[in-house]
Amino acid sequence: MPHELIYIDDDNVGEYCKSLNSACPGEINVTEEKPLQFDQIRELFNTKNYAGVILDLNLDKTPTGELIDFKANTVAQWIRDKGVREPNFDIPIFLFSSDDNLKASYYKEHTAQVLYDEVYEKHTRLESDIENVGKELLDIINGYNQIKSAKNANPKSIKNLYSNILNCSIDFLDSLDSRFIPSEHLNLEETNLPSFEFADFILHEVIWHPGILIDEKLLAARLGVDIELSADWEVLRNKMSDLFGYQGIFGKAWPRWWAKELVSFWYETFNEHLRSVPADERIKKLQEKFRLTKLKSAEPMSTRGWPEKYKSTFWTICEFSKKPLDPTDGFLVNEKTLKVWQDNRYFSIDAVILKRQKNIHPLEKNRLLEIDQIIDNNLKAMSEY
Amino acid sequence: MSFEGKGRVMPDKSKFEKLKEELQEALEAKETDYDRILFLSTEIAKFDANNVRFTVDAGHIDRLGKELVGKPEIAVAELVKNAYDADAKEVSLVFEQAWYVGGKLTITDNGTGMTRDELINGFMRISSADKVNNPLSRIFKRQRAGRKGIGRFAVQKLGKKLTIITQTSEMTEAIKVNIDWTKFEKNKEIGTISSQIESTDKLMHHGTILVIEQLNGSWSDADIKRAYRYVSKLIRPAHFKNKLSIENQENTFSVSFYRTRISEHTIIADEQKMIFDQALAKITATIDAEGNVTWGYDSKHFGKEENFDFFGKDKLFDDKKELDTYNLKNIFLEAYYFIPSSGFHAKQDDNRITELLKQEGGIKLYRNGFRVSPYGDQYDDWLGLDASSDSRVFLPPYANRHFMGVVEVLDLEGQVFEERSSREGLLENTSLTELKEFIYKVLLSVVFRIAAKRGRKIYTGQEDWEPKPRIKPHEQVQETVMQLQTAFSNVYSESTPNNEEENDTIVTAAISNEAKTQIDSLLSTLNEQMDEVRAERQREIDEIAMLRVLAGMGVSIGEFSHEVRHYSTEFKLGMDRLHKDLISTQSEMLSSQSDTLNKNLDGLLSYIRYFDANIAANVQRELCSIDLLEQVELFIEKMQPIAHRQNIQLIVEPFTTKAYTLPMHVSEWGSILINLFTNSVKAISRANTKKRIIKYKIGKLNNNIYFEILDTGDGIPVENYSLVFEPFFTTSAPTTPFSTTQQEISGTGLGLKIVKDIITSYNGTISITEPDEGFSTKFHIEIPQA
Repeated sequence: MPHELIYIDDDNVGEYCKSLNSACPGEINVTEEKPLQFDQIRELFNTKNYAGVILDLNLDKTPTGELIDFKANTVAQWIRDKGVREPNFDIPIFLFSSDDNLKASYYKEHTAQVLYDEVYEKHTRLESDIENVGKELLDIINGYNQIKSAKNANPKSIKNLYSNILNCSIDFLDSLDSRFIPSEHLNLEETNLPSFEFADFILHEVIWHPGILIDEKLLAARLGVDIELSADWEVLRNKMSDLFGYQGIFGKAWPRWWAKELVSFWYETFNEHLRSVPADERIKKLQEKFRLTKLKSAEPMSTRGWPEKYKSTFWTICEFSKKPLDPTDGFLVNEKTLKVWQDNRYFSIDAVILKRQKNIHPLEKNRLLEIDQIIDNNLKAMSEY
Repeated sequence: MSFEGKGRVMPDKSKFEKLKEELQEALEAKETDYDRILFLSTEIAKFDANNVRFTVDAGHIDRLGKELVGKPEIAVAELVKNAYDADAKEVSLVFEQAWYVGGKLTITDNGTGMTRDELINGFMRISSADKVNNPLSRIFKRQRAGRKGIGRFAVQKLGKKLTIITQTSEMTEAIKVNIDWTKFEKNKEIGTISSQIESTDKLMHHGTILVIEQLNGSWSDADIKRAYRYVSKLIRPAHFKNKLSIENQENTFSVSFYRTRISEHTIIADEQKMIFDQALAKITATIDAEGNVTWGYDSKHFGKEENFDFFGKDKLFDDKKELDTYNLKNIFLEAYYFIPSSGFHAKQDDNRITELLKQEGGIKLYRNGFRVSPYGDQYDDWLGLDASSDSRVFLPPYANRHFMGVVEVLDLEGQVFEERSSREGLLENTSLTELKEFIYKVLLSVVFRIAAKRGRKIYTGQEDWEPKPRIKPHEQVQETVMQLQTAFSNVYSESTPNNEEENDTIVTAAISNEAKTQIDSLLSTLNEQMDEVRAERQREIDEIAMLRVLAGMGVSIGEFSHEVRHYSTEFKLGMDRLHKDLISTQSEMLSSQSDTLNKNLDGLLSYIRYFDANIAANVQRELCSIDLLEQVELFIEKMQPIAHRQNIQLIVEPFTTKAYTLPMHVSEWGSILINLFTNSVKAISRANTKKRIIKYKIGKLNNNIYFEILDTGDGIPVENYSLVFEPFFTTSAPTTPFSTTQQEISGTGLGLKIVKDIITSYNGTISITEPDEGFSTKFHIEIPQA
């Protein structure tokens, strides 16, 4: 039986539903519903159990033209409240909206932003990548179900619960930064929290933010591999997955690797600290170890007018170009809150100075001005005028 | 039980006897001294042991006058009311030497006057019941305004001495009474104060003259105006000429205020009269006793018309009832029409007129010469002018605040327009409804006629409307130049050498040959310049016409690219699923076709996204410094799918990190970038080369930011370098004389012209320069830096 999703939107979204359903045939069934007044929406949820909800931000009007004076946020908050006591309402909520509407209200205040599991922009992400969106919805629904069964299995401690949903041993959890689990959920009683609380934490803080886990681009960067030019990348990647791939919830739609395990693997295998090894040496060793010939090391970036060479001791990626980067060749991204066990993110000098990425950490401002001046002088010297 | 000897004061016997004797003497005396007889009898009556009587102290007059009427203007109004009650048709008030205390006021009315009896039993009797017994006036059956019979003591408030001269038409002589209010002192019995009465020559056929002397207060112009305004609220203002004074229709009433300095009467102009000269038009309408209808207007600006038929009136009035079919009689309308701030009156009066109209505007209703409230009061809309005007069906202004006027109805029997018993307004009967309709139509007919003459639309969507032809400024200048030429040639002919008379030598000297040559040359230069101005103007008109077409097109594109977004996503999603299905058929032909289709759709969607974003940027109107490096990066990001599809490589080469322009619109750079980009893309596809590159160079040069776009297209011949910026120049498909505007615009001939216009409007430059090695075209733009 496919998971039933309800999609409430005043636009005609039949095509979205079809595409989402065909992305995961037989696994999800998204049904279109027109917005209704609150009482009727409540009735809708009371008569049927849904595995997930998709909401359009601006509900606007009922099919009969009555104005609706609440937004999706109201419905989402109502579901979250009910979800605390009623498992049927402890389900993922997704926001589908046009960029204009997101900018006009959603991004302007943050209280509603914690209500949704994920937000999808209609004309960009949904237009170009709906197949993966479908897979993401499915994986989140499955993740919720795994959390629910983990909770129902009467875990002895919060660590038991996490070891279950992250699919790792308690010993392994203990080997991680000691502030990782306790920072969020302290005692056993908290296993009674709604699934949403766990899903929210894992998605936003663990899966989507590098630190405990890293994604494919970051994995490639740390291994020094140029994904585009390496035909054997897939083979290598799968080997890495076998060794230290993340097997917990949400890992299907968002493949991840344990960051700590990569370092351990390198040290154990090559008896050296990966962080300080240049990319071409990393490649050489990988080629030898796994007998893969079609691996090419990633080239360090360059910036017009910047005299220094970028280092190839890659550890991160440029958030603008997604190219491998040594953090010392980048500017720290300004992030509001960062957990101690999360990694910093960076923009390359190129992205900041020439591609005009502006969201850098305030502490970087002076460095930025200095580098900008050097580049500007060099660029002027290149001009034919 | 008796009070005798205790409570009762026994009269002084000897005094009582003495009074009786004195009375006896007074009665028997040859010359009757009435005052003395009255005094003695009153005194004797005080010895009446069994009865007591009220007596009135003479000082009571003073209290009556002062306490009944608080303000002098109310006192004057009371006297005017008395004249009205006496069936007067005209009342004049003349203030003499009234600038200071002690002046004189003469109030003359042509009412019925009073006989001796009426004077004694009416005027001289306090609280006479006459007006209560006879509520309607004798001749005109006017509803008498005074009721309590005490209004006359208002004169006491005004001045120390009063002389009444009154005569009826039957009397052969007039009666004159002199009252000296100072004699009415406290502690005197009122009945014992006599005022002299005498017969005198008649001063008029009938009527009453009140002369108030030794005025208690001073009367400035402002005081008189105030009194006038107060009175005019009661009666129809005199400056509205009374047209109803036709035969047998004599029940009219007007009041005039004058001031005399030495011997001349000066009318104290009132505010309303002063602004009437400035009215756009005077609107009049009359329905006489036979029901004949005349209506029309008289305007300094638009001439005079009567009973005109105007085009489109059947559209304007629902009921189609003609103005001459109303079942009304004895109606007179006079209204002044104003459109403030329309240039029809002096600017400095604008505020005053607007303010006055706000308070006094509207059509006031007078019935038999007397104001009927609330019709035409401030905030009253009895004709429905405000309501109709607010609905904006008709465009010309015609709310109450655009009129100041009166409508007068004559209805002596009071049967056609019945007053409500409360005296507040008239009964809503057929006549009143007809009257409202009639006046509404007359006013609107004139308003629409004037609007048509002003070249204004009367209602939205009016088809027959044509704007009034306007003399263009350059034509006016031309005209003036011609007049100047004629004027000069007249001067020359007067000062020709043939005419050698003495008195012309000054003129001849003033216009020497040298000066004449100079003037001639200046005039001809002026003429040439005029031609240039005209040509320039024509060019501008052409350009404006073009811009209008472009603006319209821009709006359509904006609408289109936004609306199409709703479909684009669905289109794309459907296409993706189809593509997936077609690939699964494993037919190479089908999947390759679907692949092409998918790529083309992606290209189309990129364009739509770009335009949608660009139009959205237009919403932001403020000018701001543009980071050109950022704009180019954003642009390239959006255009990447299109370039990719065309296999074109986009390269940016910055030569500075600080490419900030002076404040501009973001969307202007959008236009510049997209125009130059599409030009390059076309040139590259025409050239059909393997090297397909568009390169952007951005740098600083002196105080400018420079921006260059280079491509590997088919290039532009040197001879066309400057031509490409001309409107309608295009390298792709030459415009023919038969091409339509639409073709001209879409045929790319305007893109570079628009780019150039934007850049030059910021004091920037654009040119085509020698391309770099490996490129065929290079546009070089410079724009001032921030």
